Amino acid sequence: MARVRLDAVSKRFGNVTAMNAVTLDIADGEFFAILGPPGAGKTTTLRAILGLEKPDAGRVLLDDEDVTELWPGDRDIAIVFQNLALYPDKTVFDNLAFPLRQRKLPKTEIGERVQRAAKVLKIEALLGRKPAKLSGGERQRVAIGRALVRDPRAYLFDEPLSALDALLRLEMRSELKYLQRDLNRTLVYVTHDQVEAMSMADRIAVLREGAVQQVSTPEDVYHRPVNRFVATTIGSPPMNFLPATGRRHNGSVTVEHPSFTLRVADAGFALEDGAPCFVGVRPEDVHVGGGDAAIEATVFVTEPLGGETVVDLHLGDRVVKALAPPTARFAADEAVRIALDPRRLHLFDAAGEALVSAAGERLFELDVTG
Amino acid sequence: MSSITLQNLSKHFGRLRAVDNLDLEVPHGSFTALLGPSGCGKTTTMNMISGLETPTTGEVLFDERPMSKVAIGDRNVGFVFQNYAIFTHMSVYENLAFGLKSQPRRARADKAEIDRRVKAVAETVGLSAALDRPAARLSVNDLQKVALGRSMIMEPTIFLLDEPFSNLDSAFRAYMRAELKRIQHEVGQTMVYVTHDQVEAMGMADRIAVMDLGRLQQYGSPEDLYERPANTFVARFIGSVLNNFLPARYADGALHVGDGSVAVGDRRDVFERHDSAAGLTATIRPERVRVVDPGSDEATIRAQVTLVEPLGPKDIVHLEHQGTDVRVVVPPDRRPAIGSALGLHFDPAQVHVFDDATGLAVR
Amino acid sequence: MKKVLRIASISVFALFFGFPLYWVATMSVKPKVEENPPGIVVWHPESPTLTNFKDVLGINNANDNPFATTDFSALTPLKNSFLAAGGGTLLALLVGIFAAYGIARFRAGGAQLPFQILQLRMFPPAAVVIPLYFMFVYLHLWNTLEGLIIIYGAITFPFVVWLMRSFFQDVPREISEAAIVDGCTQWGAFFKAVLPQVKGGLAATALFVFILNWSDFLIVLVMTQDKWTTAPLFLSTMSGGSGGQEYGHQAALAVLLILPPAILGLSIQKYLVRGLTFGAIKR
Repeated sequence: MARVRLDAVSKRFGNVTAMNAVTLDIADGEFFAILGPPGAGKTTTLRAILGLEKPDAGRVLLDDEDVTELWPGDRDIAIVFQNLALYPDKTVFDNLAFPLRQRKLPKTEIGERVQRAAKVLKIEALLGRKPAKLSGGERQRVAIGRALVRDPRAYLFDEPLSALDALLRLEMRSELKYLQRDLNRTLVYVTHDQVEAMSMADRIAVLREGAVQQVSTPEDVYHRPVNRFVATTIGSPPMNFLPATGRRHNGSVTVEHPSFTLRVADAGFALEDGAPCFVGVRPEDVHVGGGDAAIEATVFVTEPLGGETVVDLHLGDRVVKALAPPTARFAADEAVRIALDPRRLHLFDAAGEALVSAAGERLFELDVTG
Repeated sequence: MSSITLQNLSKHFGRLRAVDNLDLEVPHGSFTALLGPSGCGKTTTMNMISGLETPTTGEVLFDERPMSKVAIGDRNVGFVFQNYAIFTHMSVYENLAFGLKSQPRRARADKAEIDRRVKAVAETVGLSAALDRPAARLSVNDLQKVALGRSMIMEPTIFLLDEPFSNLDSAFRAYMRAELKRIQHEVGQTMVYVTHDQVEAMGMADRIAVMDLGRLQQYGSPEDLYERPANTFVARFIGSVLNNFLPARYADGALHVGDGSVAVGDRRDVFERHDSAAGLTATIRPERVRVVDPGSDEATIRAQVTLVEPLGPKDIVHLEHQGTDVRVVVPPDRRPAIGSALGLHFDPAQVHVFDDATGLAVR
Repeated sequence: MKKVLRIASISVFALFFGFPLYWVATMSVKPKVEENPPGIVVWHPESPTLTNFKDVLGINNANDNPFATTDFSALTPLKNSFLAAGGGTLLALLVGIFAAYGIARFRAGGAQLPFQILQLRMFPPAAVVIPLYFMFVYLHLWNTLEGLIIIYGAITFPFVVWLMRSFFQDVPREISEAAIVDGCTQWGAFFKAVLPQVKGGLAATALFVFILNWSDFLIVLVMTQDKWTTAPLFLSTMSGGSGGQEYGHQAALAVLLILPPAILGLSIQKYLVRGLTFGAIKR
């Protein structure tokens, strides 16, 4: 059906490398997210799949067929652009019908397909209107509808929700996921919002300055990020990084931090004696107060978000974020004790590469010092 | 610093009521957020506070003093916007000092004073190490700090911020929010922050004014808004996970939600008195719903799992109940299978009821 | 006080620009006897008549007018004006629109081409009109409709490029890309997706160019004689000769000449301003 592959595709615009030997293998029917900050090359990647950008190097394959030189209109892929690109002079009906009329489908079939897509997207009442008279959310649906009517073998969505208000985004997120499931087609979804990628995708590719950092399931990128960039990009509030020093003697490794020491069970990774490193811990694995809380820290701000409270703490000279229950209240400069869940710690080397992630296993033992 | 009072404030553009009879009291030294979707009137309100727009009717008062005759330049308002105007050919130091140096001669501080103030502000925003760096070489995140510092150094009476962090990457935004909150508490300046993102408002502000279609929906602390929403708009708008809305009915002394019922306890007479001819809607936050065995009688309703959204630290589980989408937050290790039936327990204290005709909470 | 000054200065300007129009309008309805009587000029026509208009439009024949020694009918020159200006405008549009799209969308000709095209209009046509005369005589294009159309097309083509380029730049690239993805060729995308977006700009450009060509005097002065003379030139030849000054008829023709551009210009006013200011902003 629609296996989408990019084979070491590179693309430059002047001095800027938009894509750096990007290799992706997207399975048929997969909801595949491409995640990264603005400028990471996500949109360029999407356009390369479609053929709107010609790669400088590498190949684009659809179902094992090399389509690198194939005209975009002949690839049987539909795209929803970030700025939607609806035809402003045409009604919603004509916008939806346009691709079908181009392919000279019979009138009755065009009418049927448009009605069906309109029904799925709940825009039947809007068919006679022009885009200028629609709200942001409605225009979004029309743009999706224009892709839907073609029943292509794959869909490309370029940050479809980024222009919408926070609330509308929340509402449309689950709708999109339901939609993809019902369509049962490959969907390549570009976004800078990690919540969207995590909640919707079967697999996520994290992109940084044109280079793929990691491609894996949401669980995997969350619990086993390959470097600090991925660890920071995924998860909100972002992961905390505590600078520490590695110590190696008699073949066993310990990690020393002013406030605690980690004993590592199986040091299958390379860390030299005295080498600086970082202990990574997510805010939800930092517990303020409670029975085993023994590390001293000072609160400087609490952010009550309703469902939970973010507590910003000073640990030494570093800011550490912790998640606490919604009822938690701390005063500024209050001295507290925190605990770090050793089964959820990560270790990164000085360059930011991941050495090991506990991911639920008992790889670390934490002793409070200092 | 001063307090801000908005009295009957309205702004009409032809027939469009951008701001409609707004009454608001911003205590001095507080961090207040104006929160709402695009077109709700928050930016127009801010413009009227600053003087960029003149109200159609009503008054803006700083410390009880009406501002209608006072020009923007004389209101002593500090701005921090998304598209900060930093002088890229100057260093951080010079950027911060610019405002002070541009004062007319008689009002200008002397060199030593300027130096002292620049260093103090740099310390507050965390730029002490970068003072000599040319602004052109700064990262987007540091540029934001310079913008903040430039406004702060002029010691304005009030600060107005219009979504200043939307350009920043999300990790840094989280840090800037905590920083800004800390700075505001330290400096004690009255701050008005405009945003459409409820996470920002909830995390930073002492009080939040929720607006929609030019009108004030509710004004209160983050906790007030979350725990005691005044109407369905606030119930829907606040919260990182979409709130649950279920059709409800009060009959035979019990509150029927979906096909289950919830005890009314001491709210009985409220419901007895209320004329619910139009119908009722009950809300309960996904974070407050408890998953129980579908067979147990703790289950208020039973529903079938249709979708799971893994967010990392938690999962959002979507279920279908009588045609309505219901959401529950569960830890990832308790993720249910799609199609399985779950029992959901609603704690009566967590169930809020609203009238369908007015949208207001039944209290 | 400021208000009074403002009103006063606007009135002065209005008077300054409006008065000649008023004068021409009144002259056009004055009968021969009222033209230029000795002594002071009379501003108000005493017995307005449409004779001048009728003569100019060839409605009267010469016998009705005892003073007629020349045929005042300007029908042929008016026809020539429409054909030449219309044809020249069409030519400029045809070439200019595609050139503008190529420049706007595909950066055809590199960064310099737009300015090079603009330079075509940087010097006054008067400077090149003599060499052009010799060229056209050599090419047997002098005093022909084709020749006029070619020149009008060529000298207004830069305006078309300049204006349409900015209109095309305002159309997001994704609209033509969406059309391509929907199955169009580049041409199809241009006609079906992009062109409909610039309808307003296109109308403004077309009319602007038409007005330029319609009111041209210098080119026809050099490039035509009798047969393909256009209205502005004909107007200047109406005086003199055995009839002496023919202010009335000239004024009538002038009024007729003003009408098409004035009406069209007023109707597309808002597009015109937009088009001109956009041309001025560098993107």
